[in-house]
Amino acid sequence: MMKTKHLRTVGGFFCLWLMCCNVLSNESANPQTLTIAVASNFLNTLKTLTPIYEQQSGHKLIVSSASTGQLFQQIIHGAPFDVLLAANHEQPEQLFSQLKNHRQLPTNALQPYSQGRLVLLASTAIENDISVSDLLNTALAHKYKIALANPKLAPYGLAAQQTLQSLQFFKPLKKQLVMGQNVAQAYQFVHTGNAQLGFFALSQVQNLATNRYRIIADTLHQPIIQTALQLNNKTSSQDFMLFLLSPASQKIIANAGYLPVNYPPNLSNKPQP
Amino acid sequence: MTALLLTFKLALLSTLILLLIGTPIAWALAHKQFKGKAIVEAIIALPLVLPPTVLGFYLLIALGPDGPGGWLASLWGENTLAFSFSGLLIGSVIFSLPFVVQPLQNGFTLIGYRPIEVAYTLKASFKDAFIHVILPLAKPAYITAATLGFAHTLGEFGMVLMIGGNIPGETQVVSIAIYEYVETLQYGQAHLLSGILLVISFVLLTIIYASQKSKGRHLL
Repeated sequence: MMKTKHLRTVGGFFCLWLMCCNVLSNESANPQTLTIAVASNFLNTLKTLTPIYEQQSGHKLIVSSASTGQLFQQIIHGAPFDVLLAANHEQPEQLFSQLKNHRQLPTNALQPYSQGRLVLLASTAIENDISVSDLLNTALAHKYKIALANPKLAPYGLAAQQTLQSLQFFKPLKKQLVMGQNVAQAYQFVHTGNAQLGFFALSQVQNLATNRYRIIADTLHQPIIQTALQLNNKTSSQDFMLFLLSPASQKIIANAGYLPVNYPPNLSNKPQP
Repeated sequence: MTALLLTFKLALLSTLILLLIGTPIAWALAHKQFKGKAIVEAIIALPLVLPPTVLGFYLLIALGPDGPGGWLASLWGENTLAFSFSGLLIGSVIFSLPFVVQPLQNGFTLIGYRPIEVAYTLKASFKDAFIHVILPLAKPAYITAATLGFAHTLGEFGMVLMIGGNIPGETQVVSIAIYEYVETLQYGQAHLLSGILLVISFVLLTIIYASQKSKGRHLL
């Protein structure tokens, strides 16, 4: 008697489970959910792109942002992302060569999608004739704090460090540098007035008055080739990559403060002093 | 190693400050009746329940140029207390306050007011009575409070991440250093620091539990 009762309960649960599976698979048949891992600098731009993509494809995007280094670490440990939008090309390339042995990845999984611009932002308006070097000299004289993303984790932080090195300011200013875990966290150090200067992505300061920042010459640091990596061979992931690289999306990306993908053509360019 | 030394310096100073300001607060809470006592107790206990990010967020604003911290820093020509050792010290004193006040308050309550009254009958002043009667009796409570305050400061992370700015030798405490090692896949270094912290925390907690046992004997 006990046994049959038990069996019935198990059978009941089994039917329930089958029903659940059925519902879930029906739901995932067409409108799918894509999880995008995005470097902090591109988060706002991705938020602009998201509703357009969701409307066009019917898919839903879930967005997770952190520094490129943090995302890299998460993906290595099996984070369930479909596409990585990094802020550099080194780490997606390294991931690609590491993952392609275990996962089915399309040969074109790796695609540059934008090129970042670095800016030096001040907490107050900058006079017209003040250059980046002038700003850094003032910072040195007044012991101003300079915010940047952690160069070990975030490509924009690395570009900021390279810029300071190119201008011979890295060593003298080293004690005044304050680091955020990513470029978004570093930004709030200047936003709250705790740091007077900071290196950020142009896309982060787009809405501010142009006299608040100076765009850093791209000869002062290695080009920031932001590269996307498709992390599986789902059609929806492929679909998103195509959307990202489409002329319409690229136009939105350019308006958000990025250079076109193919600028400059040579990736291995060393920064010129 | 700089990170370890810095963390110990921070924990030691925080604990000293906390014992100094925690004693009168705990005494008042244990033996005085006043209006709004529950509110004071709630405020002190807040760091127990608030996420460190809330504290970090408020501190970032309070320590900054528009807050009291900025005003204080302007006295020596800076404009913010964030990203500085003093800023972290203020943060960790607030953050660890309940861990020091609550054991002291419990200790004082257990001792009761009677020993003071007895000392008064022997013509002792309050200062005398407190130093020579209450402090020795409250020794186990002090050990617990100090160890808890110290251990809790060692484990601080979220708030430091928000107001520290990750400056080696100034604000890069050991928990932040470990985080950075893990994020940059330097697991060897992360293991080393984590192991050290694990052992220290274990030893500290053992001290607390051992002293609580002796506290029981003391009070009997």
